[in-house]
Order: sequence, then structure tokens, then C-alpha cells
Amino acid sequence: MVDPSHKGRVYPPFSYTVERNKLREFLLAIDDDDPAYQTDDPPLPPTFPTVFTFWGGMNPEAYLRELGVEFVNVLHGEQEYEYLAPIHIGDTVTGQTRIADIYAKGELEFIELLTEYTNQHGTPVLRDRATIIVRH
Amino acid sequence: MPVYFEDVKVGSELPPLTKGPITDIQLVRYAGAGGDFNPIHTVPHMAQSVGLDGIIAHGLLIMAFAGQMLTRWAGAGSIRRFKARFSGMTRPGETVICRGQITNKLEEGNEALVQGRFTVKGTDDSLKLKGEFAVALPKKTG
Repeated sequence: MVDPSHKGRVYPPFSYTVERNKLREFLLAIDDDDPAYQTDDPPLPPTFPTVFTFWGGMNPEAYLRELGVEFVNVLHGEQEYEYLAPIHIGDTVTGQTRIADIYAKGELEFIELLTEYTNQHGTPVLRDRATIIVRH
Repeated sequence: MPVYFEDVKVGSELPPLTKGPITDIQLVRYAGAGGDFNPIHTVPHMAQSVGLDGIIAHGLLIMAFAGQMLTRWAGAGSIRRFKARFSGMTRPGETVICRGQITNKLEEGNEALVQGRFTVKGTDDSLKLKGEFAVALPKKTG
């Protein structure tokens, strides 16, 4: 059982600078050849922000271990993105994650992580809500 | 040709998108690109050790396919909100079909928004994920 007193926990901020080659690598991985991404100032694919999380140093694996949860025992339950402003190649986004909720339903436990991102000008650009399911 | 707000009807379907078959190498590639190295997605014996019948695709890879359906229709960069609930596991070898439907139109601030819901299913009709979206579309009248 994950200790519900961890609800509200705030993690240190982390940053990620958006690079064109990472975008290219991501597009290859999701098999998306839309020419809109080949322009000088391309938009980002809607699920690209997962790169901010995992390559920006948020480190969900370590966070989960602190809660007593092993990474191999979790599944992604829900994901929501709210896109507040465009993010461009070369922008540096800074995210801060907090545990928005911890609850159980039957034998499964749920951890909701809310990460809010701003760009290098301090403008809010993205809100990311991820629900992690813990299997036992 | 852009899709205009005025031309979108509530209840209409988006052009569906079929993706796959998903391969083991695609999951390795996605793990590297996205940065989620949870071994249940790439290492068969680790997936089996936690009771899964082999490796499973990242839920966010399947969500990315739904995102492609949306951006091909509305234009990359037009999405304002994108939410998915991961309902079923997807395994290498599977092909998935993304479908969407318009549920609402509204104008908010200076944007013309179209809201809808979507599903991604296997060819056996098993539900992989379902969710909701909002996209901002251009207006003919400016």
C-alpha cells in the first residue's frame, strides 16, 4: 500500500531544451511522416511532452521507488495534456511535478502526478496529468 | 486544405487511421525516443516475471497514433487538450485502428474549438484506449 500521506508532495523542478534531432527521432518512433513537422518552426506532436518528463530528469522510476513501488509493477492508466501555448525548437521548458492524488480501487492503487510547465519566458505552456496504476 | 470550423458538424466522424503491425523494434525505438525504459516494454523475461504474457506497447505510443489521427485531420499544432484512458494492452504484431467523432463546437476567448472523443481498437475490436480531445480550427470569416 502506498502511503497516502505522500499526497501533495512536490518534486524539484526539471528542465528540457527542445531539439530538432530529438523531434526527428520521436517522429520515426511513432511512424509519423506528416510534412508539417519538416518546417523551420514545426509544432510538436501532441504526445512529445513525454520526452520532457523522461529526458528532462523528472525520473519517475526514482520517484516511485521512494514511494515503495517498483517500476515494473506500474502501468500507465490515464494521460491528459492541456496545451496552453506553443512550444518551439530551442525553447527550454521547466516542469514541476506534484502528487495530486493517491487512492485505491479494489486491488489496484492509483497515483496521480500533475506537472506544470513554463517556458524560458515564464509563460505557462503545458499542463500534464498522468495517472499511474500500481499492480501487486 | 485546412479544415474550417464552419464545416465541422457535431456527430460527424474523423477520417480513421490504421497503424501497424507494431513491431518489437518499434517498442525499442520508442523506449529510446520517449525515454520510458520500463522493461515490460522491451525485455520479454522481465515482462513475464511480473505476470505479463510478453512485452506490451507503451500506452503513450498508442496515444501517439490517436494523436496522428487528430493532427492529420485538424493540422499539427491545433490540439488544445488531449486525454486518454488506457484500457487494454497492445502487443507486438497487432494492428490498431484509431477512430474519432465530434461531440461539440464552441468559441472560447478568440479560438474556435471543436471537441470530440476517440478510440483505438485492435483488429479484433478489443479496446486499447479511449479519450477526449479539443482542437482549435480556423474560421472562414477570420
